[in-house]
Amino acid sequence: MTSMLRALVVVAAASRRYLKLDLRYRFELTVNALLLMTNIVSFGLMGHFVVATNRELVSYPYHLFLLTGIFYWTVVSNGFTSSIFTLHEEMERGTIGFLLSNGVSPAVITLSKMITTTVEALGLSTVIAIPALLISSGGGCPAPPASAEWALKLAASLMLPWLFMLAVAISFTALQLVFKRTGGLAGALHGVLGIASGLNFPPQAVPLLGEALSKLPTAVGLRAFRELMVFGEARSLELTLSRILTPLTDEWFLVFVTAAFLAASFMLLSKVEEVTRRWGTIEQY
Amino acid sequence: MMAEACAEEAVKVVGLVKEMRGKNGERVRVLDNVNLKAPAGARVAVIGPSGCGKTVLFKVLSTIYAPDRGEVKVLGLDVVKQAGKVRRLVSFVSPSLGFHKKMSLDETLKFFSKVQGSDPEVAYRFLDFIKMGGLRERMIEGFSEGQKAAVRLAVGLMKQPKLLLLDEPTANLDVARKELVVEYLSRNVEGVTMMIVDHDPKVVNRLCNQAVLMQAGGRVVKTCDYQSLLKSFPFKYRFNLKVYSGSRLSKDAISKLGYPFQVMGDVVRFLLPSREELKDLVEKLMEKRGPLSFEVSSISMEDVYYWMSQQVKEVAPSAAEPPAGKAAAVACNPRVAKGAPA
Repeated sequence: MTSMLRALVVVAAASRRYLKLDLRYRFELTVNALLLMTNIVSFGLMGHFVVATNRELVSYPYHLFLLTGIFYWTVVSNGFTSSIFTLHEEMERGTIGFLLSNGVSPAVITLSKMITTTVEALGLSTVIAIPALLISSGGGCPAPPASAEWALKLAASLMLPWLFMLAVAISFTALQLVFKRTGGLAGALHGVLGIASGLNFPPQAVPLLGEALSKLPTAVGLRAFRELMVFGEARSLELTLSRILTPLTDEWFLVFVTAAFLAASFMLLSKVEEVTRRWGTIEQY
Repeated sequence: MMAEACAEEAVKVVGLVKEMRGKNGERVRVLDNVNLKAPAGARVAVIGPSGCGKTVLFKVLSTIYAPDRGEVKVLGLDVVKQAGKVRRLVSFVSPSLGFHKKMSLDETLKFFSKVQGSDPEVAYRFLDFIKMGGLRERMIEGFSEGQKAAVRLAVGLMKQPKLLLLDEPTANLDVARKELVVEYLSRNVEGVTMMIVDHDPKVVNRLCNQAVLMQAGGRVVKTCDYQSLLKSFPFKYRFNLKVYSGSRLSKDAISKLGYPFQVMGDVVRFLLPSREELKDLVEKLMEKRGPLSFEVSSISMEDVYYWMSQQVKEVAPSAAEPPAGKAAAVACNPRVAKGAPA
C-alpha cells in the first residue's frame, strides 16, 4: 500500500515536471496547436468533398466524422508516441539507472508523460476542435451533455481506450529497454491503430478484417465518442454489467481486452527489466 | 529490517561474476570472481585503471545490474532477493545522471526528492555549505559541469543512505569547491558507509580509510585498510627530484639508477625502502648533470595510491594472468616497479 502510494506520488511529480517542461517549449506547443488546426481544416475539407462509400455506417456528414475522429485520436493516442520519445531522452539522460536504484520502474516515465500529453491534448482540442465542430456543424455538434449516463459513457469511451494505449506504450517501453530505439515502429503502429480504430473511415468498411477491427477498444471508444458528439447519445455502447460480462460484446472488448493488455504489458515490462538487468544493458540507449 | 540494516558488514561480496552483453550478443566478463568486504561505517576507495569494472561493481551494489554469479549482500540484505529493501538504503551518485536543462535547481531537487522519498533540506544544507545555495532559482542549463557534479552529489546525499556509492564525485569541480565537498563529506556525513571511485589521490586520501585495488579484467587484487597498507608498503621514503628543462637526464639514464620511479612533469618521483637506498640515490645523482633540487619525505597515502594505480596498470589481463594472491604479491614487489630493472 505504501509503495503504491509512493508510486502515485512519483507519477504525480513526474507528470507535473513534464507539464512544466512542455510549457517552457512554447514554440513546440504552438506547432502542435497549428498541426491540430491543419488536421482539422484539411480533414474538414476532405469530409466535405469525400462521399463515404459505406453511407449506412456514417449516417451524418463525413466531415463531422473526421473532425470528431481527430479530436478523439488526439486526446487518446498522442501520449503514446510522446512517451516513447521521452523514454529515449530519459535513457540518454541517465534517468533509468537513477529510477531503478530508487525502486521506481521506467513505466513511471511512460505513464507520467502520457498523462501530461493527454492533459495538454485535451486542453488544445477543447480550445480548437470544439469551436471547429460547432462552426462546421452549424452549432449542432457537439451535442449538449444530456445526462449522467452521457458523462459516464464519455468517460468510458475516453479512459478505457486511453488505458489500452497505455498498455501498448508500456509494451513499447519494454521493447525499448531491449532494442533502444523504437520511435519508427511506434510511429507506424500509431498510424495503423488510427486507421484500424476508424480515424479516417469506419473499420467495418475494411474487407475481411472489418468486424475484428471494430472490436478494438480504441474503435469501440471512438464509435461511442462520435455518437455522443453528434447525436448526444452513444447508441452502440451499453454500459450494463450483463453486457460487460457477456463475451465478445463491444463492452466486453472495451473492458476486458484493455485489462488483459494492461496486465500483460506490465508483466512483459517486469520480465524485460529483469532480463536487461542481467544482461547489463538496461541503461544503455 | 533495522537489524539487517545494522549488519556489521555494510558490503559483502563473494565470488561475484558479472558479464555484459556485447554488440553481437556475446558475453563480456567485466567482474571476475570479485571478493570484498567493507565494515559498516568504512570509507573505501575503489582503485583501479579505467574500464576495470569499478562502476559496474557500484551498479551491482545499487541493484541496477543483477549479478550473474556469486553472493552480494548490502547491509545484510541480498541484492537479488531483497532488491527493494537494498534500494531504500543505497544511494549511487553516478556521473552519467543528467538533468533537464529547463528546470531550476530548486525544481530539480524537489523532483528527485519525490522519486527518492527524501527531504530536499539535506541537499540544500550541502549546497549552502559549498556556496551553491544562491543558485536555487537558476536554470540547470546555466550550470557548469562542476556545478552539475555538485547537484548530483546533493541528490545522492538527500536520500540519507546507509551506503553511499560515489563514482567520481569531484570530477570537474574547481579547486575551491572540491575542497569544500571533501570537507563536507569528511565531517558532515556520519554513520554512512562510503565507497568512492575518484581519480584524484588527494580526495581519496582524505576521505578514505580502506582500499579495494582492482585490475583490468574486473578482479580485486587486494582489499585492506590504509594503516596496514602503509605498514606493509615496501617503501618508506618519497624522493622528489626536480630536473631543469633541457636536462640530459633521460628516462633511460634515470632507470639505470636502479630505483622505481614515476615521471610527473618536470618532477621524477622515486620510492625508496630505506635510508641506505636514499643515500645511494643521492650519491648517484650527484654525479649526474640535470638535477635542480630534491625533496625527501615519508610515504603518504597519496604515494600509495599512485603506486597502486601504477601497479594495476602494469598487470595486464591475459589468459596467463596470476591468481589474485600472486598479483597482490607482485604489486608489493619493488623490483618490478615501473622503470626499475627486474
